[in-house]
Amino acid sequence: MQRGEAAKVYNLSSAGKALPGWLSAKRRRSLQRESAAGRLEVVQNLQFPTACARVKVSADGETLMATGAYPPQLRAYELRELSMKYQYHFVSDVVQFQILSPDWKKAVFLLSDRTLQFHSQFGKHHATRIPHFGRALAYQRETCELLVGGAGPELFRLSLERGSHLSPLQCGCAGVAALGVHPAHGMLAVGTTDGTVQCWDPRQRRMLGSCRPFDAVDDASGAAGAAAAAAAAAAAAAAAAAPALEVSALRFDPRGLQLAAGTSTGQVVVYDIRRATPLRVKDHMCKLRPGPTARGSRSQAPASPAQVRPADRRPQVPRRGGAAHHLHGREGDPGVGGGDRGGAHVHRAAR
Amino acid sequence: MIRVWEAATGEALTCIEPPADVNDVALYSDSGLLFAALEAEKLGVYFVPALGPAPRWCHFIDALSEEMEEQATGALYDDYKFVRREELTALGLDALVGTSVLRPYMHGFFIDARLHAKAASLSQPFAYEQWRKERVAAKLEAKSGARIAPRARVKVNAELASELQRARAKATPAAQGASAAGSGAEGVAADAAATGAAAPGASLLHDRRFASLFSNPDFAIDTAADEYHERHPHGRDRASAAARRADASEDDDDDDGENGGVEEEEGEEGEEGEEEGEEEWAEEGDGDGDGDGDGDGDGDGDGDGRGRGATAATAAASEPRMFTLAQDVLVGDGSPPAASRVGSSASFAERLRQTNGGGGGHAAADAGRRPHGALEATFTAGNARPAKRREAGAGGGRFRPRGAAIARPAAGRGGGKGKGRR
Repeated sequence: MQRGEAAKVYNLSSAGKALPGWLSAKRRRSLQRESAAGRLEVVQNLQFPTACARVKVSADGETLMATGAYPPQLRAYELRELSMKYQYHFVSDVVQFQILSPDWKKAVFLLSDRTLQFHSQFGKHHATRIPHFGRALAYQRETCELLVGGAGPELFRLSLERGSHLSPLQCGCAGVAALGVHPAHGMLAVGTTDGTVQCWDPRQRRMLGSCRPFDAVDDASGAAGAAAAAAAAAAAAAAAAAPALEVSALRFDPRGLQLAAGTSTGQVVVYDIRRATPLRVKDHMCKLRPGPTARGSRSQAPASPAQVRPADRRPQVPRRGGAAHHLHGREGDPGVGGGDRGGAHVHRAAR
Repeated sequence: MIRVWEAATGEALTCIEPPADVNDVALYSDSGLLFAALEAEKLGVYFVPALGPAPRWCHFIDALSEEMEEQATGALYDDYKFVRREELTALGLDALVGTSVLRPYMHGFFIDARLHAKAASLSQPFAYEQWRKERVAAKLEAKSGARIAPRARVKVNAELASELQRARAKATPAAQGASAAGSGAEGVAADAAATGAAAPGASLLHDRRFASLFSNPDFAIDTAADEYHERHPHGRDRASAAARRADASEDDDDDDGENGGVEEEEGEEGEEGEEEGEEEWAEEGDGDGDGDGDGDGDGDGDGDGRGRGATAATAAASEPRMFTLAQDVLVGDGSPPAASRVGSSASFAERLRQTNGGGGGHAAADAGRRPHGALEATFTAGNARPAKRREAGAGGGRFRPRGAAIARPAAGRGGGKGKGRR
């Protein structure tokens, strides 16, 4: 593959509009038959009534679990059967969830009403509440602790072994937006709404260090010298427009040497955990949103082989404070993905 | 938009543009399959062969992808920058138009970001320094902004200066009102300020002619002086507001009982609110209103308004001054909220007895008895002896009511106000 040529991507879901539910079965079948090529579905019924919020694959690779709305619900798909295994409805939205066991059988769901619901095979096993609205979940296997961060400086700890709350970690920040657990020794990375990444030692419960990805982003834009003043102005404008500069996604690489932080402004900053300065700064170019004229001209233009894709197609309000939501790792590669609402990053293994 | 980069080199591998916003992404480990939670009904399922093989449970998509080969994507641009033609000219890269370095797109061109950075840094060599400086300056400013801002020091009459500044900060009409207040508040510059610009606060502060007002200790306003209190009954009024209120309620208990007391209190509050609202009148009007009220209410306080006027007049012997005799006759005529009057009058009476032994009592009674549309009177100080004014109050020929020539109609007060001028 040559440089500048995009790797091929195959869309296996014909993502987008599902067939409307009010269609008669007959009509639905005929439509499906008509556009079979355009309606490829790898997993049957992989859809939600309105939208999907979170999706995760169980560690054994057997089950795909996704939460969505409306009503708030969980749908678990058995991938071997290419179909849905079960679904479960919640009383309120699922903010985040975490699969605790290698398979689908144990999971914990952080709901938007501050409830933590623990599920087992039969359904809801236990529910407890946390004092703040939660936003991030992490599970530390070494200590068997569930960590919940949210709108407050505390990082709440639940001992799943003892079944009790432990004293929370005081992060000294306005809020916690993202959590990451080191795969090897369980070091905890906390992405705050102040725009810092704090690393904590779970054994001593003290902070080992912190860094600020936004400095790296600024430096990168400044050192590039590319219309530096304009960049600074743009950054200032961006800062003014988006009140919160927060670290909205964190992920360690499976080897544990690299840490990727996604920012709410659409950058991914990759750190080596032994170095204070970042290895790499990648930008989602979220500021490059085509205006109405640009979109019009693009839609009129013939399908060109060149794909120039400034971040996102829709003009939109940044949602829930965080733009870059998710960073994703993959076994065997320093996986990084910075998801924007309309964006995610995946770093691929060096081969 | 899902972007995929090479971890080792940082080069873009591909990007996926789903039809809706992306909420979450899950990679299927050890494969090229990824699931995207979209803001749409269906989830996105994407297969990127460059990332890995298909998982075992859907091995068929390997074959499927061969069929779909034709739909494969084209070239990918990462680290390209969009520049308009004008920007290109500014960078001095005009000559590159038509070459493969620039790729026309929409109303401009795409240019390699590195080339653009180079050109930009060459075209403005000090941009980085400038940017750094700006950033440092911004940080310093942010730091200093957090502190309490130092105020410009005014040694003399600092209170007046701050008052003027506050007045200037208000909107124009409010500032005008404040100007009147300011002119009343301050003796020497009062007339000049009143006749001056629309924002006399500013003119007073910055006018060279009045510079010594804020620097020369000789011009310091003596707030302890009786003349000052004549003009600013507010200060003492407000200070003793609680005491007055207590007095008032006691009095009312004596007279009417509980209900009466409540009413009076309400009335007083209303009155105070009114005073707040009309600043221009407050300075002059308040004390006189009190005087009127006393005239009707009880004999003890009768002397006050009058006496105060007298002291002012006698004190400012050399200069012609303006002040009102009867501020608002409606208040005086109708049933005034006596509660406040009594209290305030008591304090004034004390003050008066200290100064001139309540000499002007009768005059004030006259003023209280004056009919609607009665005067605001202007005296030359020399004429304003208490005895003479008594004549005037009784309707003597020395004061001409000029209801038609009202300079400042009492909009809020309702009472017609005349200004007698000699």
